[in-house]
Amino acid sequence: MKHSTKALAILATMGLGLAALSGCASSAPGSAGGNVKLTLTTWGEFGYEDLIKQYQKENPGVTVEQRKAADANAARDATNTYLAAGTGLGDVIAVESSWLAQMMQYPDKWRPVSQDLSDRWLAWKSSAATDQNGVLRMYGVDAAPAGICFNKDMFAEAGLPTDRAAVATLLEGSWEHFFQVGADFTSKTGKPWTNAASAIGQAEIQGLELTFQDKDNKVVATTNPDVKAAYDAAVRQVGITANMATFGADWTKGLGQNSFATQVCPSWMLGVIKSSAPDSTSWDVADVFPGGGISWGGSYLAVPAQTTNPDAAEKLAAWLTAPEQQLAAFAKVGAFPSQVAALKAPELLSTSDAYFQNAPSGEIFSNRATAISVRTYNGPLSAQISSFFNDAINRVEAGSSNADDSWAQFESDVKSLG
Amino acid sequence: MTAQSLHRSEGDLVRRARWNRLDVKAAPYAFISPYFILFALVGGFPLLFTAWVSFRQWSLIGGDAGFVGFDNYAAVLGQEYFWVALGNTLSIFLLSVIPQLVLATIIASALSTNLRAKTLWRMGVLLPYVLAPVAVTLIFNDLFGDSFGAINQALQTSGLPTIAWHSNTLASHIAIATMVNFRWTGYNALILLAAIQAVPQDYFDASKLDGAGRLRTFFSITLPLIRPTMIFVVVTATVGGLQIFDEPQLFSVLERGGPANQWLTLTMYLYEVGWTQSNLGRASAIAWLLFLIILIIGLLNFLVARALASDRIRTSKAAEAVHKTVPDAISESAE
Repeated sequence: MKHSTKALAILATMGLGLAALSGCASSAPGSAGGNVKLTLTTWGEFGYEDLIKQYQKENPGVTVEQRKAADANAARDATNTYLAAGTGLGDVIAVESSWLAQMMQYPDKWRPVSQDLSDRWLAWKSSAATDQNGVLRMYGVDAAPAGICFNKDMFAEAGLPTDRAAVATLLEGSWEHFFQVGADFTSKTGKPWTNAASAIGQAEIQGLELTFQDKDNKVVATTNPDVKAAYDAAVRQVGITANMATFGADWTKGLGQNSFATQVCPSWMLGVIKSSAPDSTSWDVADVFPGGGISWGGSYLAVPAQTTNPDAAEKLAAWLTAPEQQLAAFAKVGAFPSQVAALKAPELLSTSDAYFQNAPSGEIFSNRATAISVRTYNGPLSAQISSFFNDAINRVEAGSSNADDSWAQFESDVKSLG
Repeated sequence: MTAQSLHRSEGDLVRRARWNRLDVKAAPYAFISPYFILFALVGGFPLLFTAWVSFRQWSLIGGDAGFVGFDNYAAVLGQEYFWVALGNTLSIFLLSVIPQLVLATIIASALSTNLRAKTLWRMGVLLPYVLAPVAVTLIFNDLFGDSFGAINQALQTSGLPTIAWHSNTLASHIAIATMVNFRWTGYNALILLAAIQAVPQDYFDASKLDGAGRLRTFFSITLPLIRPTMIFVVVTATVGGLQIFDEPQLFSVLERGGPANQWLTLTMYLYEVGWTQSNLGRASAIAWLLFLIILIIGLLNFLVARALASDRIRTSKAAEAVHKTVPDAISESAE
């Protein structure tokens, strides 16, 4: 009796164990049968929601899941983590131009773009994503020329023109002129002119060819006089800014509460403003930028080498960055095309944006793109130094530090990276 | 049992006896070994591997780049950031652990009294613990917003000056400590409640007979008798409190420690060095320094907690004589 119950117990345990193991094995995903599931990782507003539905309809058997990171920095940190881990990146990921150089330090981690697509994009867009052997590794998405978004109701309050052509004439000129108009506005209405001094600092930096690192990737952030000049100009404006750093919780609310009158607006900012303050009717965009024209940001799509569906992923990335699809994304979220064919398309110039008082966004940003005179060089450490630069200005704006101490802190931060 | 089955060979008996002894001696170790094997794999190995990485130059994506001795430790200890982060961590730790434990003890002793719907209250205090920390932080962020947060709006409408939650260092620590306390007070309260309920009722009856008030009973009987649990709660709160990451990381949407590193904690600094600056060697050095700091402070807290809640029930000399006889009298009459 004792022996048989013991034997029964052993057999039962073995049976349970085997059942559990086989259960695990059978739940492993099987990609047989042509059903492909692709993961696309982005942040903010790329305008891909409708495009994905269209792609899935045109390619039965392919499902695309879009994962959105909280913002570009979170996406960068996650990308670093998964690159190091060797798995988990998904099939197509978005890469921002500020940390593109960091990603291009490891060109073999990205699948090359097919040869016949190599002249799809503007030369400067592709060259940043080409490795030392001349192989293009990333699919350009948008070009991000910048205009100035303004709150027409607040402008009306101060007696400033509300017609966007008149605003363009008003704000045309240098940064000093822009600050002067702002000082007049704030003294008249007591309200902030623009959202944050750090946004001003960033905008000025984007107008320089060499900022934090030179073309040999040597760190010049603390010795470059242009960087110090941009810092000084930004902290001097602390009296006319709202202390609502871009993308912060206060900024998101402030957009809808008429807390500041102007916002530096790269084309992709249109989509962000729309989604942050969907009920506001006060925002418009003017065809002007202090100091000339800049390109601020702009992203790429990349297919990681670790993807399990290389062909399907490359097909998706190539389709999403085709001129027609980028034009559709531009109409939805203002992601201005970097594709040569799209820039020549008549649909581009006729695109208008209902949220921004039916502004002819296509025409505005085409003009802004033509006005771009310099391309900023971003080295692998530029994104990190840029965070320190923003912090330095934020410290002064928040009142935690004075301008000189904050700059000294910036210098020691930059040194700590080495 | 026949005579035949009883008749076993000598050798057979000796072997069985030996197996038996082995069974008795080795079985306990076999039963506890799964835990230790798992710990060795998941806890011990990473600990040693981190120590190894901390002595090498190791980039996140680039990999191992050679032995550098104590360079990483020297670099980390020479960074102002490390000491700022240490100060912030200790400040947030004190602001969270002390109110937490005081409140948890008070709540636990309240829950141990005869309340209506006892179970409801006891489950209720655990609800904050069940919520995801990320969700709680996001909601508290709305409360603590500088311009549009609920608290500052209320202060503004009542004419008081607003608090700069994201600029003032102490204010940011208080905000983060509030989020941490919200989460952990109920959890600790339930653990202390279990300890209070384990105190034999005799002591409370005796103290009531002596005419001791509620407060006197609490300080002289309850606290000393829940000492082991108190020590456990203090040590776990220490270990957790020095590793706070979720709440400060999400305190700002930029997910960093604030423009002047007002709320940068050691684990956040570790994450920034390892994953944003891609320097795993230095991050490992920070990890080991944090480990040593937690060991030291944990030990300190253990000693302090042991001293504060002494094992002896504190009584006045006159009452001691009565105490000695009353429990005996009760148990005698029960028989």
